[in-house]
Amino acid sequence: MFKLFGNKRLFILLIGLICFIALMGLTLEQRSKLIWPEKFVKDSISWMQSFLYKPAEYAAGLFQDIHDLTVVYQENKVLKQTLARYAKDTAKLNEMEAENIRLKEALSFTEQQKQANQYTYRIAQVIGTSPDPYNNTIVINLGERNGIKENMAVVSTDGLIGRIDSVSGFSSNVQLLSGIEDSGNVSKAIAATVKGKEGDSYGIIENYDLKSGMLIMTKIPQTDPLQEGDTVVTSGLGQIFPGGIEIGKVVSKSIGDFGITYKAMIAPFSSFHHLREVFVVEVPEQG
Amino acid sequence: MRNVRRSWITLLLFALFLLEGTVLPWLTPSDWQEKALVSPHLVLVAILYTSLYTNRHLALAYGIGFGLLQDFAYYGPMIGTNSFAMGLSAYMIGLLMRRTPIRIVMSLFGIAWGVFGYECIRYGLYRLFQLTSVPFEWSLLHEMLPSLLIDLLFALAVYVPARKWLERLDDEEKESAEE
Repeated sequence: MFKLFGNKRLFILLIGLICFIALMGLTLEQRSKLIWPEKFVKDSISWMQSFLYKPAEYAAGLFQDIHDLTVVYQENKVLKQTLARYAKDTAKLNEMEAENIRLKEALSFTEQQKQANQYTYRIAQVIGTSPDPYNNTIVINLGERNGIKENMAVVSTDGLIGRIDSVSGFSSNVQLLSGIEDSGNVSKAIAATVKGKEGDSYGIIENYDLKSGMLIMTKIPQTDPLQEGDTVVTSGLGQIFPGGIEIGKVVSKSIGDFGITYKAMIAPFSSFHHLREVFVVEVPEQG
Repeated sequence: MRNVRRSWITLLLFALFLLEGTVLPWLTPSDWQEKALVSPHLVLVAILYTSLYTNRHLALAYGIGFGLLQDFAYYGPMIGTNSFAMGLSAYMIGLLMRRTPIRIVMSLFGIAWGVFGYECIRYGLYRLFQLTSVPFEWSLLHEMLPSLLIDLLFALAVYVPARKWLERLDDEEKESAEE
């Protein structure tokens, strides 16, 4: 063992360790701007990745399609039922929307307040997935040039999947919800509420349980009406994620770590694997 | 001649690097990524072969270089994790196995230890910076061992061409050094 680590080797190893720990420590904090070599490397790689991700996705999709054939009949039946309900809901929605506009006029909302809930959904192609299972990052093909900014929410067709973590010229990295963790100071907690009980329910999602694949919602007040089976949406109170985006379904509710508040396990609606297209949510500028 | 071959290795590693982030996640079934976090390390296996059959200093450089590339491309929590872990494990395997005659079993053994060492260093760093809170045992059973199995299958599949090619490269380098 002593022979293996000669003095010189051990010395170099230690120097290396110190340098790398310093580098990690420096890049660990929330950096708002990437420096140009980073951007250059990242953009060139993502440009090349974009050629590979598509064919891979199609090839994988072929097998998926064969599997889908077997379930398509069942699915069709369910969809028809949903469609009937959808028509009914649309009629109701139109009516309520009209009423909403009328009320806003009556209460003399400013133009800015009226626009506040009109989010734009920008479609983005996924061009890369981090091969490292602890680093839950995907790369999308929209960047600074397309007006993407840090901390914008990213959703799939099923629900919230993450937020923009870092932006470079033509691509940006998305931190998936499976990467949120309250201890490391690299993720942002999500203020959440229950759909249909927006006024009464409140909680914070700041952890993902890797073992069960569920999000953990904490700091739920004792009087909260949250129940199993409820749909959890973003509340918009945290100022990072816009309100009303569906996150998942409550699977269980139990007393929290300190016995004062409750915590709930939430099964996310969206899968975090095999993503093809995602949507970046752009919120109109505040003020 | 020497530089031409080296740049071939670099190109090959780069191709593997691109595949790792694009094609492989689609090839691994979704279940494997949810229940057991399988993530094959093609680049690392190739670098470990380089370390075993050419020289460890070259492998160290490749490890640091491609690790850094990965850190840049998927910059999530921090930069330097993969770079450090890949460089160190590639160098250590080269150092430990420099005197043993390397046959197929020994090389697979070396690669297994290299990949395992890489995973441990990476897990340790993430744990140190509090970026993950899963216990080591869970990570070992659900992430490290399944990935290791896939890595070994890949290593076995490319063993013959990798060894032939890299040994020829090494011989040529030694000849040119003697001249």
